[in-house]
Amino acid sequence: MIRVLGSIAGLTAAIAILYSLQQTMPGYADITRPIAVHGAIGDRLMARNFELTATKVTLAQRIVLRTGTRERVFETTGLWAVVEAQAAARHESVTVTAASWLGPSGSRYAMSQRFPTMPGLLPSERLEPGLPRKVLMLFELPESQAKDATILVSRTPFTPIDNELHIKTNVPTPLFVRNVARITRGTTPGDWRLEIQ
Amino acid sequence: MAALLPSTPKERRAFRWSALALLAALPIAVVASSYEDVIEWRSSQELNAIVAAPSKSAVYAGAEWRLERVHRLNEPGAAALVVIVEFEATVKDPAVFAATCNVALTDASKRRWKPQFLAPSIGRRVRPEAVERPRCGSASLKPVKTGDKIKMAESFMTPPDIGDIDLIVSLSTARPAYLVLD
Amino acid sequence: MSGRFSIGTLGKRAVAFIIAGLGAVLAVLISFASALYEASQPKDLLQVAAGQPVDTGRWTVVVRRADFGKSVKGAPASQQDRLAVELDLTNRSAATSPGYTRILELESPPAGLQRPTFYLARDSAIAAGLHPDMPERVIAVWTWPPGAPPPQKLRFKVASQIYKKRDNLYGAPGWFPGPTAATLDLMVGGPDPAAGAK
Repeated sequence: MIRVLGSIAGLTAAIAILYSLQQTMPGYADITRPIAVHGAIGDRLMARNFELTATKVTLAQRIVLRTGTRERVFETTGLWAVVEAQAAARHESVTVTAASWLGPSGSRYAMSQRFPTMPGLLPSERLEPGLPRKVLMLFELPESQAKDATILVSRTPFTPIDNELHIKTNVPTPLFVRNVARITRGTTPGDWRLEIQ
Repeated sequence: MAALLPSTPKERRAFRWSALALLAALPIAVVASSYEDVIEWRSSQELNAIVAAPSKSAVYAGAEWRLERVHRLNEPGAAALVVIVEFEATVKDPAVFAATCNVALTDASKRRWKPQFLAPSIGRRVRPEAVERPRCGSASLKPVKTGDKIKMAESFMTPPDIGDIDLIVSLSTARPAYLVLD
Repeated sequence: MSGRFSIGTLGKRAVAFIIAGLGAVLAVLISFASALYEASQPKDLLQVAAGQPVDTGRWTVVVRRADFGKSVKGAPASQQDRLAVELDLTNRSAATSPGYTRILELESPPAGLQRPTFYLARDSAIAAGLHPDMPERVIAVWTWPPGAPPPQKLRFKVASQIYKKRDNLYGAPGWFPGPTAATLDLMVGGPDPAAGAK
């Protein structure tokens, strides 16, 4: 009798353990997820091949690119988030190409691809070791996703098991949305300026 | 189940020899299926340095390389230092020399700076004849003959406090060996 | 026969094998028959008109109008005749995605028709990834093959996509092509059915 009960208990325990293992098994996306480096605005975060300090997040209704006298206006149904940061490479010259805005509901808004290649935008800047420089990240997002967000920055969008910076943003509510963020290209290549109005 | 365990001495001996053979066969299988990939990976890595003595030439990848001049251009008010390195190669073996070329600048801190695609404007202003030289790797586009002396230059943007500069050159045909010019 | 096996044991093993085999054959036949049955019962495809939203899993599509000619609104001018279809797309997934290129397919395309290029109506430039919960007007432009007759009335198939939390190869999450969500009839050059509303 005891032996029968013992074997039933053992069987039940085995089924329970296996079931819990099956339900908690991480998916492929979790196993190959990049290793997160957490921080906030103003923290100097080190990834494996680059380092980045996000300095300021500004919300704007439109972005204007000015080259010489020509202006190109970029409108959106939501808002633009203009993130200014200081970035440098760590050991070797590198270009950081992947950044996204993770909103409070879990939606990810990738860096806007509407802009032409121009100096100042993070994917267009080749970062050199020991030379921190100011870079911009531009995100297009709906108003509901602007607060309690995290900015994710990594060198490439798909490399698994590389570092990804998770920068918590501190956009205050009620949202203060500026009218225009103007990026002006200078005369020398690589020269640019940001104005918020 | 009892029929599966070795019982007779002959069976026991066969079991042990098979286990030993398995111990040897597994690594052989791993090596046999991956040696091509390992060789390919090695040829893209820079592992063996050939260091040239300062101001001397060194033979690498079918040519004799020499560092000619290093220009450090500092624009007051600019955060970065522009370094223009002039070097030349005398071709000995055109077949090996005409390959894609990776150049990098390095210093004592072992950081590497990759060359700029376009020479910075201060380089064009101050050292136009250096900036006009072709970049390394142009030999893979134009044919070269033995004995040709190719003069090349590469420009870099580095922090102002960079120390002793070494130039690293590696050609795809000669990797994993690479050349360090002091 | 040495007598180690008795007919009884042999018979029992054989019976066990035969029953297992029969079970497997039965399982295969049942799954095959049910697949045949489901394939023989085609579901009626949803018919939509221009201006009606279609839920395709990952995108909500509203086709607005179609234009044909050498210069169409919203796309750069070209030498060849082009078919331009204006549609509103809303990304319903959780990440920015450029996966809308196969959303509209002509039911009977002329020979040699290539895949369309998508332009963002806002910028009149090639559209890249569209962001979640942000409706955008895009223009799908097909370059019409030179010999083909200009279209008057078009029938489109709207493709859907399904989300699999674990796919069959890696167990990775992803969006995969699904069944056709709807068919749409459109007159070329018609007025915008929701003109005035955005």
